Amino acid sequence: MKRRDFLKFSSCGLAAVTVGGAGGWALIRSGSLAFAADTVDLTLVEVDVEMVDGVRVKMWAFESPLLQADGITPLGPRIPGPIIFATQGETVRIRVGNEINAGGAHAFAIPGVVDTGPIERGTVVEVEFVAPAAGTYMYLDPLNEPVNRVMGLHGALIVLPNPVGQNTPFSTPTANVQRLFDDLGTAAHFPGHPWNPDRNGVWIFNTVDPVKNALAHDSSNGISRESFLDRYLPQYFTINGKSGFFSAQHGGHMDTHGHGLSPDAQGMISLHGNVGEPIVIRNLNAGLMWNSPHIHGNHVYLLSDNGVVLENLEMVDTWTMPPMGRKEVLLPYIAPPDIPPNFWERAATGTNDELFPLLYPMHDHNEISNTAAGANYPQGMATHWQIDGPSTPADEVILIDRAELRVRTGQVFLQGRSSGSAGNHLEIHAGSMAMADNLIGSAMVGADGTWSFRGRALRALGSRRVTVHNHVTGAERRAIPLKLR
Amino acid sequence: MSTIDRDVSSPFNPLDPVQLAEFQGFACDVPTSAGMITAVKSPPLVPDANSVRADRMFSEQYKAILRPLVGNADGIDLPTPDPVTPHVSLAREGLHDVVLPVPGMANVPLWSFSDGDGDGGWPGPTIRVREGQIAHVLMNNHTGPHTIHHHGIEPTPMNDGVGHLTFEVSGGDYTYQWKAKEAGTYFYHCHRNTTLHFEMGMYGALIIDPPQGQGYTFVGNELDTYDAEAIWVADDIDTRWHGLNNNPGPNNRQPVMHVASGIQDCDDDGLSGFVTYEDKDNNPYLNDFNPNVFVVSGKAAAFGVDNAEISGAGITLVRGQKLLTRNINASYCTQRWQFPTTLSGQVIASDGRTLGREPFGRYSSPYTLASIDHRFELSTARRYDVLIDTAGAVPGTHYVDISFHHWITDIRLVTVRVPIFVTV
Repeated sequence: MKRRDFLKFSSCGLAAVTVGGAGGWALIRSGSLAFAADTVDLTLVEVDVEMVDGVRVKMWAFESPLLQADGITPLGPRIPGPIIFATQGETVRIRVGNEINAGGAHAFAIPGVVDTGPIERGTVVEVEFVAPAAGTYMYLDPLNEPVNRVMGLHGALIVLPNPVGQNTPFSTPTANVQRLFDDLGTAAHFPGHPWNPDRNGVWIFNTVDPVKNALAHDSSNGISRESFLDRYLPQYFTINGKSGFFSAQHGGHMDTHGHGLSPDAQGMISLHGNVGEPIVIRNLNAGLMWNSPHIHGNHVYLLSDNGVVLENLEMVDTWTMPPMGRKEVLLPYIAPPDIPPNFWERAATGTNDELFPLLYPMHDHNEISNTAAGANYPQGMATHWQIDGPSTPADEVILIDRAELRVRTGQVFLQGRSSGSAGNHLEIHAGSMAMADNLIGSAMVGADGTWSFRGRALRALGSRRVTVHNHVTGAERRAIPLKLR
Repeated sequence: MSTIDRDVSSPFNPLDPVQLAEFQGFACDVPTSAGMITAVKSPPLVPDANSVRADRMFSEQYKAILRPLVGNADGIDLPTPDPVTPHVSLAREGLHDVVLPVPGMANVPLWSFSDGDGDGGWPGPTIRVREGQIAHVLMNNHTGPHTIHHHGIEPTPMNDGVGHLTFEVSGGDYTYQWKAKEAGTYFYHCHRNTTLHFEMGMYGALIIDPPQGQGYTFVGNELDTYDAEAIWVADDIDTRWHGLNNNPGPNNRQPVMHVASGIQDCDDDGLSGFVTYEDKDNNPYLNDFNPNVFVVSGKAAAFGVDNAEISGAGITLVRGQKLLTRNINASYCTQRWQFPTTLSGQVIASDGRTLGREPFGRYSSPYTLASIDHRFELSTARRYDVLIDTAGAVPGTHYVDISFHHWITDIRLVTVRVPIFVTV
């Protein structure tokens, strides 16, 4: 595997957009042009995984050269594998190598989307597929189901819709999903901001039975699913491969602006933000128990169930995750409703007794899973989310309603909205990044929260993408595809 | 072979006293109400779990309130931060000497809550307030440590009752403060070593009525009434778990709470204090749950009998009356509830949120039982409210069948039947 083989998605799948040069969602989260590459590289490897209590368990992992949040260190082997982001309709190319010398045959698949078939040991297989409907998918080794998946060979593919003219996580939202996302940041009950498409949480649940794992790992031809499942008794329970203190207390809290699309699932389990910064949380259950994740502090809206976007959006504090279940929920990040109003009055003047951040747990309410090695509560499926402070205009979110490029004249037309303060200046840059040498103009947010930009931008012809950036608030929409006219 | 460390992407350094204190405050040394007061009054030279937690949560203004506090024989009470005058004041305390009669087998020891006057029973006494009221719930320290988490109620963290992020009530009392923002079905439970304490029975129902009081419920935006109410809390019990803590502790009130119930010990490396799987004498094996007793609202089904009727949880009403059922899963099974096809009704609320009610419920609507074939699934801690109208119902007994499905295999373990008697 070579370091330069990083992630890139071509944009030919979007009907109105021609293939761009270095554009793409991959760049949106990379923070550096050095990430540009043609293909996602994944290698199936054997790993020795340290559980929360130091016990080491044999598992299998997807290894990836994608970088951690520091922008320097490769993720390496991870359970789950790296989060792969794509835009609906784009072509995604994945190269999968198999270096596992145990457990029989291995493969890579996204159920209903792509399947490599068995990959010989020591070989590499390349697959290409068109990113399916916007939503959350599990990629996995589908062979000897569920053994290879539960052994660690699973991860998330997140497909985002074309960002132009779309403020929901779906390409064809139901009426109530559309209404909900339209209300965020605009209706009286949702003060603050609309959903920033960069704000995504991913919670992938798994169970670990070291006894069964050892059996599976030590058999070169694989153990039967029947013997794996017979008296299967998990001792460890993980969210994104980690448990307890390590899934809850630490690490790589999402940056509010820009890095919520990190491939590092294990570095972004806990969530943070201010009141009025809603986040979409994508839940996958790779394990073998029925989980019942419970969130404190806010109810969430159930948006989808196994890929079906829901019409009747129940607000729940607990949701059901059967094995292989997929659910997207919206955490609205409202002021927790049962806090007496005096707290917010005191907070406004800095005279509150109880300090921010307000930390709320999210844990499996099927409390069996809040253990490790049969005890040690709460070193199991536990994390938290935190409210860093009241809502602030500085958490500006920029939405794009129109983005067009007239090819003959190089004329760019952009129209959008901003949830920041009226008078904010937005810089328009050609390409996928906001850099000084690709500035093509600016726009000012009007009193009604809208803005527009019209100007010649020959520099946008190459990538057919623009980036809108506010260098005061840090708000940004990167790599907006331009519709060619 | 490659390795993945437990702290991958979020490095942990136990040599850093603050990080070690955070680690210890998460599990082996969960801060207590009294312990944090002590840490504020006389800060330790090396940060510990109580001092680190207090520094994260307490403003200087609040610390100034704590410093002059003096305890008494009963301990030292932690004042509620940002207090307001309540409309309702209640009290709860842990209760360790409850037993559940089970037809066909020996009584099962339980834990529960009692109210401030010592009245207990199981489940714990229902907390009932009206929408808009500020509630104060005093948790005393006579047993414990314990906490109260008001499930589905969303107050500040200090009033949320989660020890590993805030504190447990010990060495003095604490009064939880919250505002009853939205009418609906909630419950409360202890959040210390929750795996065990919730299974031991430390829970009770919590109902927020509309401002008009009991007998009223919202259906969408409209206020409706009901004539009878059933709070059905369906639970499962693994009797092995209920024998784990029978060693009497001091005052014969507090069972041996430490290693025997699986709480890890403190250490200086974040590793050696864990209870190990091999330690058969001290490991409660809380990952191994195999329920053998099934309960609705504190009434057990006959032991070992499938499709047993739990008549004690049943409800009687006169044809034409309306029945509100508040259906709660307090088990570790996935439950499938089958309502009688002979009664019509609608699902009006989910997890304490009224379907179709402005403003937050405007993205949903109530739906009829018929539209879901009269059945729904409840995983642990989920709730549905169902409003049944018996106008036109056939007089007689109608059964709600609750099936308990195993948390791993999804195999149906047992079905219990709760009767609705409709008379003329």
